[in-house]
Amino acid sequence: MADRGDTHYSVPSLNRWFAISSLALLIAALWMVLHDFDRPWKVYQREYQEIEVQRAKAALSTPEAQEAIAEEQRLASEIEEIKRSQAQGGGDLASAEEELILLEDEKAKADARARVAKQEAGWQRFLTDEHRVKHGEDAEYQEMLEELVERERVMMETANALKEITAKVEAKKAEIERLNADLEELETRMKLATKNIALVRKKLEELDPTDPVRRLANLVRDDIPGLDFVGPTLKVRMALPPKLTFELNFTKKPRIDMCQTCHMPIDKEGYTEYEQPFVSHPRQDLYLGSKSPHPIGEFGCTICHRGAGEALTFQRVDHRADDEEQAEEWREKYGWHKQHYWDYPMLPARFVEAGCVQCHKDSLEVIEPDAPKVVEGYKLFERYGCYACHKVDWFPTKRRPGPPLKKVLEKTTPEFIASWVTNPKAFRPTTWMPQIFHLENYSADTEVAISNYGTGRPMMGDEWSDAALASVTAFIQSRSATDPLPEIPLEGDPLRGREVFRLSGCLACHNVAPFTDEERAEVDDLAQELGGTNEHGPNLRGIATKVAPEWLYQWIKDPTAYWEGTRMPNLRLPDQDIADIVAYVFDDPDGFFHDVPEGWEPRLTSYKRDVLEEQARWFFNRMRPEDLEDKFQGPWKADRDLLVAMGERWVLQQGCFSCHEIEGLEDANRIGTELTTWGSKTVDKLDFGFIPEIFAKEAGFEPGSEEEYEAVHEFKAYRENFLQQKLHAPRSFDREKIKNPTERLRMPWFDFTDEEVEALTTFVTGLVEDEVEQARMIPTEQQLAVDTGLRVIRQKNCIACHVLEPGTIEFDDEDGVHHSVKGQMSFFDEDSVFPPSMEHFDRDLANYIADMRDYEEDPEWYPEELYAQLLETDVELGETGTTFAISNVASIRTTPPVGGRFVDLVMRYYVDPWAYNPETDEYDICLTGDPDGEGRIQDVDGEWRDFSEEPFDKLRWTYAPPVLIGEGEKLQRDWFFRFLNDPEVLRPQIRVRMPSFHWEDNEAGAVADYFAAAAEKDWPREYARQLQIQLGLTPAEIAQGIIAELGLSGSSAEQVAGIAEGLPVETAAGLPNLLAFGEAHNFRFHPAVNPIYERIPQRTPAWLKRYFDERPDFYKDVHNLVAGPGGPTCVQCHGLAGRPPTNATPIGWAPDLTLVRERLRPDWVRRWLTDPSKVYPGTTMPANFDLGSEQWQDLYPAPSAEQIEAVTTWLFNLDRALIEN
Amino acid sequence: MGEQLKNAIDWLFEPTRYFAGSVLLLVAIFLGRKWFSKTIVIVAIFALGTVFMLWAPSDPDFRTIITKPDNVPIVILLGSVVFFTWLAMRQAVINDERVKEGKPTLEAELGKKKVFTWPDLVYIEFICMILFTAFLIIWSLKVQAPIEEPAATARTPNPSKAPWYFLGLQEMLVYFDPWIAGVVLPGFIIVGLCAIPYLDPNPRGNGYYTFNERPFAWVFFMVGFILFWVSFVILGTFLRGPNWSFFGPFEYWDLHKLEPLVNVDLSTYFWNFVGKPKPTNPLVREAPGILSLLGFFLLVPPILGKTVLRGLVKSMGMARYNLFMHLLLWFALLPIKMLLRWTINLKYIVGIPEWFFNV
Repeated sequence: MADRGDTHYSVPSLNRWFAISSLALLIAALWMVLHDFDRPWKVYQREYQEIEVQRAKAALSTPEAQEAIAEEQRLASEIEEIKRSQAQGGGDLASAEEELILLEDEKAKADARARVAKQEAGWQRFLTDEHRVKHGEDAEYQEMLEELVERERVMMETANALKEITAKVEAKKAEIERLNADLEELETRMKLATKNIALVRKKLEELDPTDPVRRLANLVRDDIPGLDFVGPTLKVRMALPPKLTFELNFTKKPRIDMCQTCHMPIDKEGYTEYEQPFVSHPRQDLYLGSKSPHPIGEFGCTICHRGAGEALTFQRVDHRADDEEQAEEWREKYGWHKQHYWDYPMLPARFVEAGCVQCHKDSLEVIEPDAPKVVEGYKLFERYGCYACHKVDWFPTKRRPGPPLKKVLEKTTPEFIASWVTNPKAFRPTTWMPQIFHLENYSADTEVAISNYGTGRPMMGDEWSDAALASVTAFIQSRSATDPLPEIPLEGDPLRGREVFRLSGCLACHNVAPFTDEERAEVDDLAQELGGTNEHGPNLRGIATKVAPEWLYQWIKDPTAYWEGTRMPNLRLPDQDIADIVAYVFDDPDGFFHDVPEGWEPRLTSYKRDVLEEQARWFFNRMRPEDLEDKFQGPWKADRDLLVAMGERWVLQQGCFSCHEIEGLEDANRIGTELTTWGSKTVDKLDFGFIPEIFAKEAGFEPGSEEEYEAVHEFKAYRENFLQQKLHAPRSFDREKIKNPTERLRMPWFDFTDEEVEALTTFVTGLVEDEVEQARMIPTEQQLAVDTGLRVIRQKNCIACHVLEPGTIEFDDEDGVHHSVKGQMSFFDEDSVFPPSMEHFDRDLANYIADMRDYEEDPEWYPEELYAQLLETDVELGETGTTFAISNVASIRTTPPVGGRFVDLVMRYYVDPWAYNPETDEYDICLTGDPDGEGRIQDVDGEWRDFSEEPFDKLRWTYAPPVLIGEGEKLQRDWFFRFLNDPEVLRPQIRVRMPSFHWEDNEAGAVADYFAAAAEKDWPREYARQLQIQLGLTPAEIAQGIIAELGLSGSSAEQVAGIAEGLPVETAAGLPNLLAFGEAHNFRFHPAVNPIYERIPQRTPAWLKRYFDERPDFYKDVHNLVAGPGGPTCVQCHGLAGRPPTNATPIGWAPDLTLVRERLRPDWVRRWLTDPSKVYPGTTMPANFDLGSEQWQDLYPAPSAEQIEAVTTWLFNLDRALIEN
Repeated sequence: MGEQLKNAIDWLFEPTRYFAGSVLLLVAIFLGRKWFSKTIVIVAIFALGTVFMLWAPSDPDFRTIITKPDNVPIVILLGSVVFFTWLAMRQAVINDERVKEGKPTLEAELGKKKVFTWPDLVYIEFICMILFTAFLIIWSLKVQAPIEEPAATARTPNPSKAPWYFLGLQEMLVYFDPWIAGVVLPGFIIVGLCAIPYLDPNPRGNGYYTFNERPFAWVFFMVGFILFWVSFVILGTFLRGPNWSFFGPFEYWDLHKLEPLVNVDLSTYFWNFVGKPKPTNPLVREAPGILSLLGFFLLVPPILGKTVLRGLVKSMGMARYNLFMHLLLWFALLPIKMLLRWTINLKYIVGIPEWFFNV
């Protein structure tokens, strides 16, 4: 626009401005496009593409790939050769192909001609017909008729010509195909050879194309801003779990997890050597993998990890560092800080298991191996009785965790109560009872608010807590019944008591460990070590200073009489045994039971009357002050009455009744916050008090400074911080706060360790609102049985006495192949008294080596090999019971078996019943009640015997509680259930008692079901292993057999191996094929355990008919075989119908055969009779029936296998057989 | 030193002081307009402001609040309001001088020259539009949109704030029931703004800045816009924190900060003073409040009309005067209620929750 000269502004300068501003807008717009194009995740995707290219190239350079490529080249040159020769020969093929083209052309022409002729003939027919109808058959009609005939002739002719030429074309084609056959075959072979590398090549061609056009296309799609909407290869990737939702405005919004956009190979296997985000999930078998129980398509990421799944930048996702070091690194690298607008930040690695709880409430026990920390938290939550104060509505355990106080004066004295409540750990450092008084928010320097209620007397600190303690003691005393207990009717023998105490099972749950770590480090007695199962009940050290003898007698006799919900079982001990134990405890030759920690002394707490009154003014602040003063002068004039009145207030306020049943307070309300959905509570609802500021100050940050601000904000941003602080110092949120004394925090102090706090925090953080309703795992009946069973087993401490799972031995064989097998280590040498412990194998081995070096006088001595025994079939090493040598001793790692610690104690007692005597510095204290002090042990027949020379295995199977590995396969579920409810004596020689537990609801049923379910679950795995061993086939051969012989599809070597490893997905998919294969190869394996329907085919008439047809005196015959002389003489060790074994000494005794029918499963009995050492390696039961030879033909003429079958049948019909006899 | 200054500023920004300070500042501008309109003043204000804005953001609390993406415009608003207030003041002062000297106003001087709509107006508007669009694009690229947590009715953010331009209304909600603060008063604002041309009897001051010719209009506008709109926006943006509590600009937004607010109805004061229990009939119970309100609306206009505002009645006529006075009284109700709240913790003048009628 030109300047007209009459405008206010100069037009050229306006034009310039217009140009400048337009340019600015253009730049801004371009910037916008660039900004939109430039996403941080694209950087990762590009890097990932490079990794993929590298991997593809690496995959193409493996020897297998090289071989395939070589094969491909060879075939290609062959094809080339053939083609060349064909071309050169000028040969048949070329001319045939040329001819074909000509023929095809001709065919097309003929086809056209035929069609025209057909149409013309049709038209002529119509005209002719029409003419006849309209004009009759006149001359013209005749002409038309002739014309029609002619046309039909032409039609026929052309049709025939087409047929002919078509035949020629087909012939030519066949000829060409024949000439090409060789070539086609070669091409097919080439395709097969390159099948495995074709995918890699395809990927490589996609990512890094050699074709310039594709290269250009990739460039345009991914690298030109503004064009990235045209099918880019770099794009946002997401998981849309179909059933998982997110609560938003009372509606369920589907979850969208875009994490894969950066974490691209997260659901792929094998990306282990890269850095985040280019790594695979470390547990592909459990998470994200397509065969895992949590595939990525169904679960996504945030349901477990939390964080903002729809965000695409490092910051907005709300990543979470696991430690300060990582956080610092992130801050520098990504400018990371808490994303304030996301309420559920990602869980840091140390708490990540919290994500399991929401789905696995019914299967926490089952997932323990894979989620140990959160399950540990759950167990601690139960053990410390958190649920008693804090409601968690689905929590399975309901009972009050502490003993009732309704008759507490029968048990102990008010002095003990006072000192105990003051600080429980002062008397018993391992107790779970928390400390309630003398905590920080009642310390002397706490400020007290002045109000109308109190008189303003400074009164915090010790005198305040002491007055409270005196009140609580007085109150508990006032609510306890005081009927005196009857005298102990029998005189006890302390030395015999010690033996009963050690052998009956007390030490399975209790220990007598010294109080301090230093003292414990010196003891050489399992009973004095702290460790797992023997901490189930309280440490009994010092118990004689706590309880009354009469009470102890009644308690052991029937624990439920005092405490209905106690976990202490009834051992059904004879009165004399109980009296002996009581005598041992109170007339204590070992000094355990009168030992108390230094400075401990039971005494009543002193208090000041005016402090008590002041407390009353606070607690009864709704009363008018005058009325209160009247009460001080009237009903509360006596200190005792004021103490009781105040004690009730304190007990109600501090919530003692939550754990302990107290007369009159049975229905009081819990004092803790409900935790059912605590993890969903937003952090702003948590009162951190001044703790973040105090911590920042302690860390040396200037108030108001940048660092302080950040430290405070970060602390307050995460709910786990609150929880950890609360658990470590429950009352610390009162710090620096002026609070009314009755309103202070009241959670007691448990003195948790850091590990415990972390586990509990993980569990409680996992208690969230149920977001997974539709996708939640619904456990099968079997899974529920396993979960409940495991819980009950834990709560009843079954694993103290019984081994549930064998230990694991890991080692490298001579070829360097790593093995991990279930088994046990054998004795180091013939002179060993005990086999090495699996728990302290390293220590035992080191000791052994040191001893041998001394003995051999060779400082370099090292064992050449060690022996171990399989406790579970291993495909490579053999069946259960196989002993094998490990030559690479240094590579051995052992994991102890689950359960059975008490067995070690019993064994030690039988084999080596001596204790260390500090006075003589020798092992000369005889722990048994042997009157001669020779270390002999009283057997059940009353004889004193020396067992130190007996073989270890024999003692183990005779006197220790039985192992329960595979017990579900052995026992009939109903019998087991009955036995748990009312134990009967199976092996009278065992001094350890199977206790009578107090079962609640269906706990006994759950235990029985657990074993049945576990056996059922284990069955396919065992089947697959046995199949491989007995048929001598590898998984690959079996898979091949299934496909080739049976014509079934879908099996693979991995699948068969997966079944043998017990992988659920593989088992579900591949078991039917495997069973069919076993069937086809006549492989027999005992059938699945069906816990619901117990099948005893041996008792059916059809079954029995087989035997009686052959032998009319079948029962008698078998009886002769079993019991008669010259046979296996089973009755030597086994009782029969109440008749004791003929073997004189109890060491050989075994259960009565009459029990078999109701107790055992027939398949197990058959297996047992065949070879007991393959069921329980080391058992004293011999393998009587040798399948390799024929025995006892005079007693029962039949092959051994049939003899076994006959004995089994006889055993299951023993009730009938005995009547007949 | 810095800490003390921060504390002093926090102290100053306590709501009553903030409000009283704003009033005093207005009075000072009003009285010292000649001095205020000097160039040196605005230069000094901006120089001081710059120094302040260089120093203050070193405090994390202050920085957090002013750099929130949705608060940045308010910071810009602050500067522009000050500048344009100064500019208008300056023009008005100059014009008043010129009128006194018998010269035409600056605008009249300018108005002598005519220019073309195109290109002198439309072209530069177009250029401005382009530049401003470019500026907005760049701003939106550099300061990301303030996206917060997913909206959820069951879990509203704390504090839950209206858009910045509604923060004045939201502030009124602190003192009045929603039906007054949210319906009646905004209604009167719109009606009142529409009515201004019809109520205004003063023919002078059209098309140019002036002060002397329209002192009442000036004061009314400054109180209404600066005090009750802009300053409430600032207050709502920077000083209202969680639970709608007050926080100084350097104060940490502590969720657990407690403010002792026990508000009492007028009727409670009255019946306590009389020493009798409250009557059950709500009309009788609330009679003191009802009567004061009736007195406020029905007696104040005639009394003022008969006395100090006699001249106004004359120039406006009775009908316009009454309409104007009622609008003014509704407007005055807000500061009155605020004062009563701050001084005697008054909750309601008339409180009849039975009928949802609270004033």
